[in-house]
Amino acid sequence: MRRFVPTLPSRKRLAASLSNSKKQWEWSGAADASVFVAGHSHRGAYRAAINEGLASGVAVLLPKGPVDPSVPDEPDGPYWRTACRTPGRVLAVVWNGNQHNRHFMFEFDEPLRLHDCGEVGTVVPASMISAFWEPSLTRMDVILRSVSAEHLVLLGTPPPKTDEEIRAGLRFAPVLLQAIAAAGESADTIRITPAALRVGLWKILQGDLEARAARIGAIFVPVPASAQTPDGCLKPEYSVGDSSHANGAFGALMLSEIDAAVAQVEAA
Amino acid sequence: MTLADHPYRSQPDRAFWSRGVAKDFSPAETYSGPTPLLVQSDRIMSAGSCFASNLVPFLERAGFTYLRTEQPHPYLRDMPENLGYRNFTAAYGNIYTARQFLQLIDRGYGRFAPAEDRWYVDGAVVDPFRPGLRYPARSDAEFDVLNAQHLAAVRKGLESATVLVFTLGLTEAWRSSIDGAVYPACPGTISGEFDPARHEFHNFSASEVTEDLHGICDRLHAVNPELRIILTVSPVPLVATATDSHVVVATTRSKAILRVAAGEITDARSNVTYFPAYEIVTGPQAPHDSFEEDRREVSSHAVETVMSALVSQCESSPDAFEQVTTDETVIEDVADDRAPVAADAVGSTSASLAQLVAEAECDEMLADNG
Repeated sequence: MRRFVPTLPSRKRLAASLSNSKKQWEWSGAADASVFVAGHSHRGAYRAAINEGLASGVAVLLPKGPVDPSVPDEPDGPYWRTACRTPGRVLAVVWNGNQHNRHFMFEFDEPLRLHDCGEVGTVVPASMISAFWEPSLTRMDVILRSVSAEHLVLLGTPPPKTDEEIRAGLRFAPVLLQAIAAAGESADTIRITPAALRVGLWKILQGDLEARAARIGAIFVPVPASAQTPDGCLKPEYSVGDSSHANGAFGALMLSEIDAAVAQVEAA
Repeated sequence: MTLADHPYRSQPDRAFWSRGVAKDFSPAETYSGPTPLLVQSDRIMSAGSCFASNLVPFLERAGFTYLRTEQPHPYLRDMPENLGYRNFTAAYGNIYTARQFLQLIDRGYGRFAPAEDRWYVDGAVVDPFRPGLRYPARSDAEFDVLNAQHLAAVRKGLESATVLVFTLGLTEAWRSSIDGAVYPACPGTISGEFDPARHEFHNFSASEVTEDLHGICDRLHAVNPELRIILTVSPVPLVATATDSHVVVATTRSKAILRVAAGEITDARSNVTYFPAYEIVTGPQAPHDSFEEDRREVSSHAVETVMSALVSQCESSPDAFEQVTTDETVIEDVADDRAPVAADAVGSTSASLAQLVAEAECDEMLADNG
């Protein structure tokens, strides 16, 4: 595999940060919502659930006004202030959730493994993996320190996808195909990290989110087993057409899990 | 032999205090074993107290190969580590006593399974023999796999090295009262919990240390017959003693025992030699600034003097070492617990692509406001 250094995303990120300095945000969804969902890109599944009529009583915090598709709407300070100040029954937060994909979707030349996933390569302690992406979670403590909603929920994030779905997702993204080609590979040949290892890494991330939720006094709502294949991947029926995100059905499923978890807390 | 002709007449200058110390003292001449101490083709493993890790950057900059059999995965090699676990061939950290090293070898080859082989601390499964590891296991199953990986790396080092540098550090130790397993630190200090019913103090005698060194040599000869061993004694005084003695007195006793044992094993074994780092730093000829103000920490100047003397006895060009000792980064490396940062991580292409996919897809989701 030839070396490849992505430069396009960093330019986009710069543009996003400039744009967000003037961005306004609004809750999109039910006017009488009792569950408010805010967060990073996986919020899209909850927005899709609303748009597809799979959920009611829910609103998702999105940019206000016309959207420039070339500029991503990364949550910024005003975004989180809006989210945290919103009164209501539940504020459900999606925090990142793609760390395992961002770093480990494709196999390294020198493989790594976890103690219970993978057969070759250096065994990496789960605690080292947690420490590795810990910086991506640290801001959460500060941002979610003061929440107006009655219940703060931290949401589990979608499990990794099957190899086939990842390849399919790559095929429909010209910019990604171009990058992969620059590395001397194609969507069909690029070596995807074995699913078992990706699932193992995702489980570590879910454990870290759960621990973080406990620390900040949030209810952690994990992804139910019903959304997963026997080997732990996201079931195809919950997948949107890329290599990492979930669809409205997944959002609806998680919203029902939120209701159950909050009801349990309220009943206790 | 006439009255004017006696054995001292044939002794070199270094044998006389007046000519070997009082004037023209040469640290390099304190070594009187076989030379060259190291050849360029050697694969060097080290273990023991901190001197055994201090020498690594000096040797590497002089062109020698320091054997590393247990390193973090290249993609994660910038992750920090504690207490010098990355400063040695495998991640055993400082090994202060000969008995602990002997037991490490026996654990590696399945001859010793300590009864107290793990501690449960705040949700982590801690290795009592590496209690400061920054990334402990989270379950017994993970502990077993990580421990097996570590011991395999120890075996690989022992079997593939051509030279082992072993630095004797202490005679005082804490061990299991059940089976004598020696810990690198008193339980409860770095991790774990001290239990007087299970943990006991022991101060090794000269004969015990000598016997342990013979045991180490025998075991290493069985798996690596060509291995040469360089022994040193750490000049660093005890940080504390568990005896009733003053720490200065305890230090003197401890270092004397180690020095005697090193001498005995060197006399008895043809593949073992002694390098007098201890004498260069602590002898009456040593300059006052061999230690820092606390009179315990060996100064960078003294470390450099020792390393210069050692490398001068090895097969390497003087020019190469000139570069080593004039490079200011050397001292920083010696004091730095972390492994050198890699300039180019292996697998960075995979990581770059994964990052691109994640960012592109997340951006797309975020921009999709429909």
